[in-house]
Amino acid sequence: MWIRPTSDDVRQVAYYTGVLAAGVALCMSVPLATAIALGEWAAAMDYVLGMGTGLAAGGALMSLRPARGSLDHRHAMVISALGWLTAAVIGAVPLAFSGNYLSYLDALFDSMSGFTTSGLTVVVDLDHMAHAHNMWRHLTHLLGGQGIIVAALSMAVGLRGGAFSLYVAEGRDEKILPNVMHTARFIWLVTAVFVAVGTLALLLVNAYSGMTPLRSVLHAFWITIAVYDTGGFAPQALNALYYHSWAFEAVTMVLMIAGGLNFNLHAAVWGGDRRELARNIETRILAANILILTVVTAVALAASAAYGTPSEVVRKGVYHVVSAHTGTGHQTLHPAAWEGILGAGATFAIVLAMAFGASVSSTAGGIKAMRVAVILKSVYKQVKQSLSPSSAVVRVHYHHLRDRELTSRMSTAALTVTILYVLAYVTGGLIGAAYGYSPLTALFESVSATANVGLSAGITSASMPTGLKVLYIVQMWTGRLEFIAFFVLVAGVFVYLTSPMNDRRPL
Amino acid sequence: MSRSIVACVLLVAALSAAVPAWAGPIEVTVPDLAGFTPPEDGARVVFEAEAIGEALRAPEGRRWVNVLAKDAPIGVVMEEGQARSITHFGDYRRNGDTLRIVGIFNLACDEHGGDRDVHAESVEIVRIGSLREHRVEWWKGVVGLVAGAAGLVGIRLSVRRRRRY
Repeated sequence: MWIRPTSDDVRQVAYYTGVLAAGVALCMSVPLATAIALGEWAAAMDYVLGMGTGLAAGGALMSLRPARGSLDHRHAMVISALGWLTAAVIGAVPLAFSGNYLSYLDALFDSMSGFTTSGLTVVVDLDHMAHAHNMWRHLTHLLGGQGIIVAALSMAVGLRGGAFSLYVAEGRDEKILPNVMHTARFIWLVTAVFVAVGTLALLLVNAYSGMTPLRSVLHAFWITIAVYDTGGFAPQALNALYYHSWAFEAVTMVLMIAGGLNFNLHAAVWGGDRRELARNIETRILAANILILTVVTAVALAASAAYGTPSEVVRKGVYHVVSAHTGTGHQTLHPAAWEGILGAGATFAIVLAMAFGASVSSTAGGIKAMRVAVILKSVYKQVKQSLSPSSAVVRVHYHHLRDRELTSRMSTAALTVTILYVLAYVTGGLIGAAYGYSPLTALFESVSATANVGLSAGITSASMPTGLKVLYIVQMWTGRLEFIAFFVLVAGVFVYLTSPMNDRRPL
Repeated sequence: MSRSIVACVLLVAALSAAVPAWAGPIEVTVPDLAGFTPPEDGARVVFEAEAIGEALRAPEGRRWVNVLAKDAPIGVVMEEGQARSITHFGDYRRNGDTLRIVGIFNLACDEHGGDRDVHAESVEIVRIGSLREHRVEWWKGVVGLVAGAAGLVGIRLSVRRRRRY
């Protein structure tokens, strides 16, 4: 039975969405400070406007706060879905005025791509963009990668009631520490350590390459947060290819893998349990998948006319398999090279890597290794059951932080989300093909958007059809939510709007 | 008779092999080089583009200079002296020098890990970089401050409303 949302439910959702809008606005103080410090006054005005818009929207929504009532899981799902959309809409305001986007829709595309850590971009003239705008683009990766709700929880900005519901609604189903607020802060602590170490390593690489101190520091910080948060943005149009450095690629690959691992695994390793890395079914599946797809890509590249040397196989093959599998999306290839020069074999292997994704409770998107593991274990259970006497009770176990027994509920949940991802991948691919792009390129871009990866085979650009821009925005948004929260939002709105008027009090 | 035919065929074959080396470079644009229908691997090309970012260290004492034209970028590897002749690189504050580059185009350069690049033979500055103007639009600041103040009032009201209950 559908529970009809009341006006108080709507007010509750509006209030918390307003808190997030105001939070995003406050985060713009970082690019504003960057603009002021570097004397980029035109960009500074964009952030004053952006902050004002966010605070106004946040204040208006927060003023709808109901006098009483608390947050339940239904509210949490809807707030999570609306929260990501609101963050993208508010975050797009300064970008739209930057002069680097052809329209507000294009700015929204990049904002959604940033918050969902996708990394696809329709920016123009990126190489002449203000540092402040680059700071904001990369900061959206940091905020989105840890989860907007997690960010708000860790700062405890008015989200005390129903904190766990909000945390789960954001696509994280496991608490690391008993208290959800402490869990959120732990996620930020891990991130801070990796960002500090990564920034230092890339700073050294950049300084050795000959960058000025300021650009060395800024590029190192931006690339680190983009890579660790499995984002994909870069401050130059050539993306990772700008640096032409194997050392850069090595450091970023390590950060990509760290970003693609479950935060619970980080917690276990930090707690001294290094064996968990090897025992965890998720890590095993992830490692096996990366290995298989690396071999496939390497064979395909070695067979190609263009990329035959070992150095090319590593720098163009392994790098992109890791980038795709962890959902990062940094690339050292021109987008045109994918289908045209790498060939269909290597390109399809990358599509599969993007589709699978990395770990649950990480910053990555896609189906994720845990679900693949659960589905494989379910198949194994079915086969075992078929070969056993009819009276036998078949139990299948796996290790993820502790030994667990596979239940039919787990299998159903994993299969449901997997089917939704596959449907979204294929539907997006078919729509792209209907626009006249080659089926493989269209599938590549659709998977990249839905799995929040960011690799591009050449479709995504400012000049692509408006319909595809809207499609990819929706794919990035729903993919980040793992679909369910989106469907709850749609169903909630439908039920509210179709309920008899006397059930709805005016707001 | 047949000897002269064979001689003619050999002469034509020798000329066709030698002509590309003597022929002038193909005039291209950076979008051609970076796009879906690039010139042949190993083609000698000439193009104009803006130097962006900075000159980065490349193996064997050379330098990478990334260049941009019509929002399409590509990496050019050149001698250190050629890179040093570039006076301005493009960024937020200025347009970089416009360079006329003659070089060999590599679809997937074996020497540089498979990068699509150009190995420069000659680099000439055809236009010195210029300052970019960014007009400060104060209305954005005014609107932002007014909207922000209104938002803060809304937030304050929401907090007070909750406290009352």
